[in-house]
Amino acid sequence: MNVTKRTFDAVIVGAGGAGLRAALQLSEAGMRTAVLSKVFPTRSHTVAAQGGVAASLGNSTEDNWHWHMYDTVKGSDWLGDQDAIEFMCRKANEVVIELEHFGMPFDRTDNGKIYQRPFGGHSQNYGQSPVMRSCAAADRTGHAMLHALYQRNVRANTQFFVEWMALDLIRNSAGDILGVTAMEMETGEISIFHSRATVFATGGAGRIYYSSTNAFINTGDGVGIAARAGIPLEDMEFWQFHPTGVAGAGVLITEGVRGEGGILRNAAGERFMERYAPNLKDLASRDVVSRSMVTEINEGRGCGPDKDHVMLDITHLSPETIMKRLPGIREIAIQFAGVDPIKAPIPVVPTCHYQMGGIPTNYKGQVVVPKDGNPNSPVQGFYAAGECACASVHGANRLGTNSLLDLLVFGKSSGETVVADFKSGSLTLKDLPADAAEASLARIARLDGQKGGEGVHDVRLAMQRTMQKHAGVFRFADLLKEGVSKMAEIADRSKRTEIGDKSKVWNTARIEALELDNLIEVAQATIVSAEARKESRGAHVRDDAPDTAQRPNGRDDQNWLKHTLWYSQGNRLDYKPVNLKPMSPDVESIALAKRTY
Amino acid sequence: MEAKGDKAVINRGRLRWHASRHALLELDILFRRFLDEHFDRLDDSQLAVLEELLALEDLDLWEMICGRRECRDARWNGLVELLRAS
Repeated sequence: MNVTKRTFDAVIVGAGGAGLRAALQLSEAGMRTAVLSKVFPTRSHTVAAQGGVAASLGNSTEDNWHWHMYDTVKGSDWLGDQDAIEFMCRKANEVVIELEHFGMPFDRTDNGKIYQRPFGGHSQNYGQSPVMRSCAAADRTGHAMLHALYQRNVRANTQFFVEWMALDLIRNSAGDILGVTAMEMETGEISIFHSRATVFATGGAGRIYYSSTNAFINTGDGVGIAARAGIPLEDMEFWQFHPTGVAGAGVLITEGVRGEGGILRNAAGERFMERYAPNLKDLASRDVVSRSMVTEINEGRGCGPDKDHVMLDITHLSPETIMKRLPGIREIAIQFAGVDPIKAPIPVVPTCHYQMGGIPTNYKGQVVVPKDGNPNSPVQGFYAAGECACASVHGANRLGTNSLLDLLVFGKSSGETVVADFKSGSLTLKDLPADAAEASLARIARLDGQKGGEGVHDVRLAMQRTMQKHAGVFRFADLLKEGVSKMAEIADRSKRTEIGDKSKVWNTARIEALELDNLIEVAQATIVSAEARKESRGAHVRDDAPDTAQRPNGRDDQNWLKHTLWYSQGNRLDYKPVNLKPMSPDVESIALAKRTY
Repeated sequence: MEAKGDKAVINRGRLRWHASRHALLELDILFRRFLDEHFDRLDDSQLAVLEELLALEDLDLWEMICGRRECRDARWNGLVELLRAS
């Protein structure tokens, strides 16, 4: 196969919020920048983010970045790196105001400032009272953000390669990153994008789970590609789940439904949250509600023929209340659960929502790996930002509205680092190895030549069901152990996938097979990392690590205050220290404490 | 003729991809059902309408399917109805 070579100063993979923010930095600095995306940029999953972006502007209530930093460290259950968290919280106002200048239509206060709303987990004065910190553009914050950034990139002459899928990283013998191989979907042709800098901003991999709120595009391409290239993946056991996704579909039923009086019931019709959280009941925190639901299902009190979900009941609310206060929920229930919630309850399950781990980076957006005794040695030419990266600011659990902030801050900082390296002359265009495209061509050839293999859909479904059952929101030692073996078998099966359509033009089956390769890497990383971490922390909650006086919330700082690193090669684990030291010498570390709200 | 045939194949392939990946899970699921049930039977004029629908913002298209936003063009009604029923 002919392989075309294209040369740029920088190539960015992914055109969601993080990719567009990074691209803008590079293009405005005059660097020749290519952005690859599987879909048109404004179709990226950033659009689905409605909640807002956190910044301690203090427009609506008194606020400062120290309080935001405290909330984020506490939210992360102390697994977040405090230098990166300080950096993000300090930069928040700058990146939000910048976005305002780019034309982002934020909601306004009466005196014309950006209006801010309260959001779960964000507080004033180190946890004392709720704060109004979230900046939003109605319920279209992510959408408005993408449009503002895209228009700005068009103005800055960023070159977009739309409907191109990145396949593999190109590394030389020193381990430096020299670009990527990618496939043009329309023609099936493979190209080499040779560059001084490669920035990954490919989003999360929520599709590894059977029940996921993530759009189909979230197949963890950058994360899988990095793993195949020998880059370890950090803290992949930490996934945020939302309690109420429609069973079998994953579509999110907002927390507002329970706020308006929605009740969770088991197969006997019992309001089971009364047993788990007698005071807050159905309005207990996300993790408490999710674990209670899983306990009901695991103990045989689930609903439906497979007893695999519970019911969210709003039939006691008047139809007028449902139509007026919960617009959209009725349509979602009818479309995706086949029930009219005015007449019948909605089947729901805890559903995967956000990936806290990813490609390890520092706060400058440089990808870092252990090398020569340094746990955080930068990989030359390689940067990452957004959900695919692990800076690590979310640690073991992300606060709402910190994801849009993450992609703005680290999209920008990775761009700034690339520009600084470019201007200093340290970012050179290194010679490509002779076999630069070999790995990608071999993967395609294997897929095209496979006989007697398995369907991509079957292998993907096996992976998703295994991950849901064995590494879901509430984790059990025996299930995790069994899940590790099962995922190893499924990973083997994924090496023999077969596609019926071998054509080149718009071959969706081939694209899905290549995406599955990436999902499998992420699923393996998740379950192996989760099985090994013998504590509960943030979103990783084990049945055998309960809340005790010695180990509050099941957290074991003596043995497990460390980041996991999973290597695809050998399916092995390593660990590195958490950075409890803030970036600035005059900023105090947030001391370890029990995470209670 | 062959060139025209190729063009039609490319166009169908492109539309199938556009229809299969959206910013929102809601649309991904509806379009997956729609692609399975209806796509291969769409004629040229329906494909042209589909192309127009896929050029809309995902949030607007979703609101249209939910009936919270009116179709700007009466020609879209048929396909929007099919999507809603998928």
